[in-house]
Amino acid sequence: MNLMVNRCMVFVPVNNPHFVEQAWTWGADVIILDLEDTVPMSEKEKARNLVRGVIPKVAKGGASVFVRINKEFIESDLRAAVWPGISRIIFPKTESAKEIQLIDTLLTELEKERGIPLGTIEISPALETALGVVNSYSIATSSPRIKKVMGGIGYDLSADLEIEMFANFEQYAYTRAEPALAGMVAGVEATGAPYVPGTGRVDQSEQGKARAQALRNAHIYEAVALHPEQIEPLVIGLTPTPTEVNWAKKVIDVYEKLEQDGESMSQVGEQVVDIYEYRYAQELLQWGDACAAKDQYKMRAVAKARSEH
Amino acid sequence: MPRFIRRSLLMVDMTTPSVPEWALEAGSDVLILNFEVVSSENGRALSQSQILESISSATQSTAEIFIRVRREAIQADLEAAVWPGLTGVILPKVEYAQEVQEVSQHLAELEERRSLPEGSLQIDAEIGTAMGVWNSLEIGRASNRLAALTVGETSLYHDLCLNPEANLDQDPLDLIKFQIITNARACGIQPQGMSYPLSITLAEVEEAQLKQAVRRARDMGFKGAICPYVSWVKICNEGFRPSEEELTYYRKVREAFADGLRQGLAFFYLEGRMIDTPVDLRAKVFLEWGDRCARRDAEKPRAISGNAR
Repeated sequence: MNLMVNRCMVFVPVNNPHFVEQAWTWGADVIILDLEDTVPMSEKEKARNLVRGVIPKVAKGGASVFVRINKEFIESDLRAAVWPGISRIIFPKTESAKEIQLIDTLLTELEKERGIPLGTIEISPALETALGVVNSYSIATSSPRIKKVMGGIGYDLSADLEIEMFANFEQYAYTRAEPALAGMVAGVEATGAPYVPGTGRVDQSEQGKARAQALRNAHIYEAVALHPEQIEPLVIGLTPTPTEVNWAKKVIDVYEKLEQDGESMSQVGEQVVDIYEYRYAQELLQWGDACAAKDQYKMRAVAKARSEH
Repeated sequence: MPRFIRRSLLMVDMTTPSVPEWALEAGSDVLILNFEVVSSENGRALSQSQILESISSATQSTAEIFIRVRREAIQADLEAAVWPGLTGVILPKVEYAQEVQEVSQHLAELEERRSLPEGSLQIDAEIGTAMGVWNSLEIGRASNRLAALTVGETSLYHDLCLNPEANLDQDPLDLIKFQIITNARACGIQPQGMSYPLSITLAEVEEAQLKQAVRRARDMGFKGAICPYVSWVKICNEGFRPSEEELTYYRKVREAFADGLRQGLAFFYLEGRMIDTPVDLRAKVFLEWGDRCARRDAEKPRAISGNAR
């Protein structure tokens, strides 16, 4: 299980000063500085020049900072983006292992040049075309910098498949499943968000809650919010509750005692306790601890930022 | 945007040399002439010269003309049925890329011998077995002549031992259909098929029910379906394309995005929906697609094509 806490990620167009100034107050775990689809072509050069200065601004609230670069401007975008303070590059519409390998090589160069520990900047390929999906295994295994593969759903993919979005049924069953399976074999996370009924509106917190529930049911703990309204419900929804934490502790207790007695399965109320429940409980506790640490970090960062205002 | 506007592919059993009036006037995008129909005595009902005549007569309609060939007699059927006026050939139950390559070569020879433009004949590969599904990506890449991957639903039911009368809540071929759709798109060709249960029951149903089924097929990613009845043609023509309501929305999107660009923005909310560069690009493509469909319908002799005049 990947213990980087990215319960809620938000894209911020680098050329939009209002969003850039406000982003740290939204409570997201991750701010993705965008040079790609939310920045018009006419502004991309300006955006490149702004990235370095923007990194500390959006990090003020304790969020991690990623950067999404352009497929057409790999080298110039990476030169503009790779500075201390960022932890991941998102590469959109990935279709081949070769593209990722190029980025990997450039990252190593830039890490050396700029005093960033070698190999630490991650790459997340985003699978946003049919071709990307069918190549998901070779992409997932293309670089040790990959911990998470994104996509398998979404706006670009629906455009590539030429389908309407928000059609009120699971349109991405295969395009999610194929990369997820490839990811499991490759040892990386590659889970696209499950279907949740909706109208296409991204600004409703109820929708955020529903999404968090569906993600939990699918054992996925990360989401992208396309509007600040959904950030809090996603962050809260993807964090283990005290009740869940207590239950997990109980399961661990019961199971470890079973093991001592040479047993492998028991029941607590309606719930079977076996090795699978035990492992799940351990994971949940680890995840709960990681979330608590991230929340602490964010709280301290916000307090510090507010005291400086 | 799909390369070809082939929303309705009307199947016609050819027992006489002339294509029946109802087929010529149906307004379908494609006519599939089925010469496999056998007479009670000895094999196919029509002679080679009669087939030539029927293809020629079929070109009176505004439909593109395809023929079906029999797996056990591909070479013979191609010899008998490839004549000027033909757009392409449907190959049933394709399992390996090599089958497509062999047919492609034979088509090249026939083009030369019978004065058809070089490379003009297309192939629709029908995927009707598990092996075909497994190899569908290679099949899709096997030749430049490939125009479509078609789901051979009845054949798949036989091969997978599914019960066509089961009347299930969910389509047992859902994931296979999505796989074929994804693979077709990854190869740059278009997927053809229909949604469950009409795809297997082939029932004649009320217009409203058929509309809903076509809508779902479209939203899965299919670009057209084989029509077992004339009654399906109009609904398929209307349904396998962006609707007027959707086009109106896309015009709105384009206007709002153009406004945004003038202010240096490529990211905003329209009625709570997120709009960025790919959303605008998709709106552009779908508007063009709508135009192409309207122009295709305008080529047809009567309002049977489905668009209100």
